[in-house]
Amino acid sequence: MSGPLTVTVGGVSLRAPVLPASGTLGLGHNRVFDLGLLPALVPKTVMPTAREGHPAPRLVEAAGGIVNAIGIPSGGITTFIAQDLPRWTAFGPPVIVSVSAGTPDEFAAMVEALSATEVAAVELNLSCPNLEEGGKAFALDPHAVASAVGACSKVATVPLWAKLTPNAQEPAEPARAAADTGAAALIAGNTLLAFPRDAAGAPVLANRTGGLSGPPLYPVALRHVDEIARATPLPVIGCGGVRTLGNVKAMMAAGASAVSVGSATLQRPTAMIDLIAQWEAEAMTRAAAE
Amino acid sequence: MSASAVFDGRVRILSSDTVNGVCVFRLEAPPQCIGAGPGQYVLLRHDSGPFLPRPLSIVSDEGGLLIAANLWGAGTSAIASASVGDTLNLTGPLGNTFSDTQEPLTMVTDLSHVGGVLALAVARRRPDDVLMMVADSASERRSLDRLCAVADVCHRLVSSNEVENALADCPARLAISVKDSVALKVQRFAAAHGRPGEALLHAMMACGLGACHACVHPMRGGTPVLVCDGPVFDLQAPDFTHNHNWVAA
Repeated sequence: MSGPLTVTVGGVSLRAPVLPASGTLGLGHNRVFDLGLLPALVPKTVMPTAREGHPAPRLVEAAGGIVNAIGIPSGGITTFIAQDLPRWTAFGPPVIVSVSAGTPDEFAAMVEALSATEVAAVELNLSCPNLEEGGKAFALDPHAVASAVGACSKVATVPLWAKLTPNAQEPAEPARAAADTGAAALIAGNTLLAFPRDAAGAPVLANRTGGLSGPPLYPVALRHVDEIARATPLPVIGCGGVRTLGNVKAMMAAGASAVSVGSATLQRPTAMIDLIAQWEAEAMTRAAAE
Repeated sequence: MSASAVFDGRVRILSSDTVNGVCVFRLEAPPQCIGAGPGQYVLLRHDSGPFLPRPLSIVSDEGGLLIAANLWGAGTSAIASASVGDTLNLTGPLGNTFSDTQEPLTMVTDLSHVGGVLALAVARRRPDDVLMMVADSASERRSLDRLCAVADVCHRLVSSNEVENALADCPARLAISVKDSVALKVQRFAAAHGRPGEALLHAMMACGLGACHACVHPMRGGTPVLVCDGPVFDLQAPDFTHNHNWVAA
């Protein structure tokens, strides 16, 4: 596999440095375009056991983007490996499985189970509450990050990508913690905590708070990419509000080695495919001119 | 299913007309949308609109895709403000259809949820069917009259309080797409009288493809469903007591 945009990021070879953000791409997208065309496939975050997620309403538009409180509904890791994963790997691109959990041991158990499969890498979604530390998100606490990533490193035989959060005031600290304990790449970052209300001031989401994504998150993500890329030698995957090729290039100029596309895919399913095609065409034209 | 079963791209507006707060427009029909059944929908977005597209039922595919949108908010208003010749982004067709039954049917809908049931009435055009339009204001009645005239279907107007009585002398099988408070009345009436039926559900939607899990709707069995996995479900399955009343704004 090689082409004008081929890169290797965090131990995974990608046809282009653009990949889906977890939670925004499903098997149903194969009804719109061939999922085999994507540089990588990232299913929705998997939890240790089955759970339904938050009640409705789960999503609202706000500030030119969206705020979601989906609550990571999941069939659990056992069901995922047995039933879902083979359907993803059948498409061909490397599959990066996103997992989250309430304790470092739960994270490690899922990573160990996934290490025995065909996954190319495991994304540790560290935005979940750490149940052993009062519910504070792992990614907000460098020690919790080190505990979770360190526990996973002991059992992993596949690369670990640590997904950090823009809610961290000092993103370099959890980034260093992940790098020091065995992460192969860092994802900067995730949604930004928000509390949307209606015109009368009432909460809109059933969960009250949710995660802001889309264009308003883009400058926030740029700052995190910049700080994290300067803080560690690991490749950084920029994530947050990317919609255009210009956004991708600016994020890579800020220090990203690759870019995740999320909400743009919710707005238009083929957004990522079109973006990659545009970039490849541009690269080939440039190569031909040289 | 082939990789291109669902279209995603730009389509031109062939005609557009807004009367009484309802925009009725026709779009270029992508090949995938030809033959779409009643209940199926498309996600539509104008570039000037809010971030997400709006799920709107396909009323008919004759002469282009016929869509009827009640103008509730920024998304539908942006679509309605577009001129003939402008383009919208369209993703579709999505969703399942109402069952194809040979029995006469009672269809119940209101202005906010009219597209799917109107499509069913248009597709069937059976004289023994009843299309019951629930309207509680003169404005709603005018808009529904206008819609039915465009679609060329007969209808019966009733208020929310008259629905149960009105159902008594109508065909037994039901197909509904209506606000939750009325849906609950119909559901209870159907359960009490042993009447079968289907309900088209509505929810805030993002991807429409089952990836984001945003469009959840509570069900009576406890486990919620994604509306995009329907939107047509057995009438007795949904839990309408939560009163979501989501409309495409």
